[in-house]
Amino acid sequence: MATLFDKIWEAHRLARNAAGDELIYIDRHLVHEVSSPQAFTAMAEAGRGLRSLARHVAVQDHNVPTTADRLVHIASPESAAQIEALRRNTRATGMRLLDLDDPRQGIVHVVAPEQGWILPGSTVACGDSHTATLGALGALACGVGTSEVEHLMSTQSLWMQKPRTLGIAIEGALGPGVYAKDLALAVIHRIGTGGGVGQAIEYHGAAVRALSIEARLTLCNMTIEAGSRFGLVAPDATTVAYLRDRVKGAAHEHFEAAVRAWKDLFTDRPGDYDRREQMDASTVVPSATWGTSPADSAALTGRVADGMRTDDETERKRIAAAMAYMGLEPGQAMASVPIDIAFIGSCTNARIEDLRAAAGVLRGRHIASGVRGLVVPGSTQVKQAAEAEGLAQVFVDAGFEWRESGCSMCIGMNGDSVAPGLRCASTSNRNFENRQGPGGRTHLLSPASVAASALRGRLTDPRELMA
Amino acid sequence: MRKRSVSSVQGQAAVLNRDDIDTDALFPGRFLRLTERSGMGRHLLADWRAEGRAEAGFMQRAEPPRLLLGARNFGCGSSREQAVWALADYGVQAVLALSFGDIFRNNCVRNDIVAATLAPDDHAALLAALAASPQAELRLDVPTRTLSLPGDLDLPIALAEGHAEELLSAEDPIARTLHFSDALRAYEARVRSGQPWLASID
Repeated sequence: MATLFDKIWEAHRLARNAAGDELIYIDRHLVHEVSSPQAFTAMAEAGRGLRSLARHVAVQDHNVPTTADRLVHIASPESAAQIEALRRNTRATGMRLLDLDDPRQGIVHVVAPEQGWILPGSTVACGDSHTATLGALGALACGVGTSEVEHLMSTQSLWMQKPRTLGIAIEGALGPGVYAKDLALAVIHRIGTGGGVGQAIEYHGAAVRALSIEARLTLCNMTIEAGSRFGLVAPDATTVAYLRDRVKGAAHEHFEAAVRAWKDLFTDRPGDYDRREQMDASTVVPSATWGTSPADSAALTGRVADGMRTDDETERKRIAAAMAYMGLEPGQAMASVPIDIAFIGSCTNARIEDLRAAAGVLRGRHIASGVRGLVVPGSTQVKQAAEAEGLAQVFVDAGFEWRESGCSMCIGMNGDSVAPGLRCASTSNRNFENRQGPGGRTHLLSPASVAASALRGRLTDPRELMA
Repeated sequence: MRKRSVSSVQGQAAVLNRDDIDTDALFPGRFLRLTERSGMGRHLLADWRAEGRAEAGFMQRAEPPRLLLGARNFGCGSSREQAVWALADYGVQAVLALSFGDIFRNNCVRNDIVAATLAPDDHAALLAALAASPQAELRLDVPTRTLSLPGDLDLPIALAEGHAEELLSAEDPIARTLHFSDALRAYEARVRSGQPWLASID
């Protein structure tokens, strides 16, 4: 009897050393321009090359400007140099690159599932902590540092300690206006930012089964915000249907055999998890963070620091510091918090369903004066699909800027950032101090909630604007 | 980078007694655009220093502390190894905490930094000892998993599975893995015949 995690892990385990670490074969390595240059340099200096060229693919994402002229002009010389370094390194090694002008370019965690690269039962690594996103397809996907990027390029494998497993059963159903992002915030609120450390989280139960793949990607994306490197969902008919039209090459050719193999990819019994948690999706409501940790969230109809009254002095001091940074008072109504910027984007929430949800709230309306709205699609394909469906026009008519794809204001490396003291309602995944720019204040919420907040000019429950 | 063997760390400690110190704080995102790995120490805690935060005050000392004492979930957030390169470049050789972000902890050992956890009582004892004597010289011993303070106070520390061996070893991890080439080849052959859909990204 085994968990889904155990089954995939065992199938990829090559060795175990005296110290108890296990050598795991990595089927797919995704590369981007930020965490790779030093790895390429070190690999070249060591006189080594790629062990298995066909198992790597590179995408430009963190640094790419979202302006229309980005192919001819990149304002930051450092960003331009890093983008150029990935071009040089992929040319030298023969690694495939989705460059700025590639019709498939976008955020690596959006592009990889979109292109059918991530398959159930596979192992995936990338030098980015949000690689956990890809576990939504029933893969073991985790973020690694640059030394491990080099290790992977040279050996196609990683030494890892096998994590314990945490099964989070989510029963019930999400109500109207409540999305996977709200569920992710609820999970982190429940188990804490360190709650998943040393554990792989499998999301299961009726509410998870009911989620689309895009929603599962959102849920797994924020697993790292709960301290866990791996989030995953067992493959099912939804997974197979998503992949059928996307896989290419050998995966397309052998698709039916693959589907038969995937039927064994489930956790045999809930008792097989090392630890179990239960949640009821019907109790989840549209929420947003108020603090500087992703666990600091409350209902949009609730109050700042709701439920965070504590006798723990360290925690009281932490909340006081978060309030000072965020410019808020404990007990203040969430709906009284004004916003300056509305950002829809990032590997958490920049897929087509996210844009549909936001556009659904915005259609026929205009954002509040003084609010800057920014939509950054997760990939060039998402952008084109949104334009074809008329969503782009909805955003533009509502007063949003419609941009090219990339990581953008999630991390603020590409020129899009939140200025000191400004407050951003953001669909991204981190509200850490200075994350979106020095002194910037970030509230995390779903695309529909960001849209509703942009319309009112303050944090708003989208259900108030849904007919 | 050449691997060193690390069996002990000796020196003064700085205290960062705050939960959830994330890698964005340790190494702000805008410096990630650099393509080198050396010289990163000048960006360590850059925003906190700019804000004049008390926690970053230790960086004004003439000598960098060899050890840092954090609290819960130290190094959470991004996988950016630059946070660890910055600590190493600045001169930190060991980080002590109640718990760590997993990727950060692994990045530490890959860069010869000891990332050790303390039980809550021992953490409190160490905080109290450093409050009473901020300049105390500590000695961390990897083989015995012990942190020694002046006055014969020895505290047990814990390392992640495999980290002690990796710290003590001077062998390049990639060279070590390449000893397993037969197992790598066997897996690849198994995939080619049994799971051809996994053999390449198409």
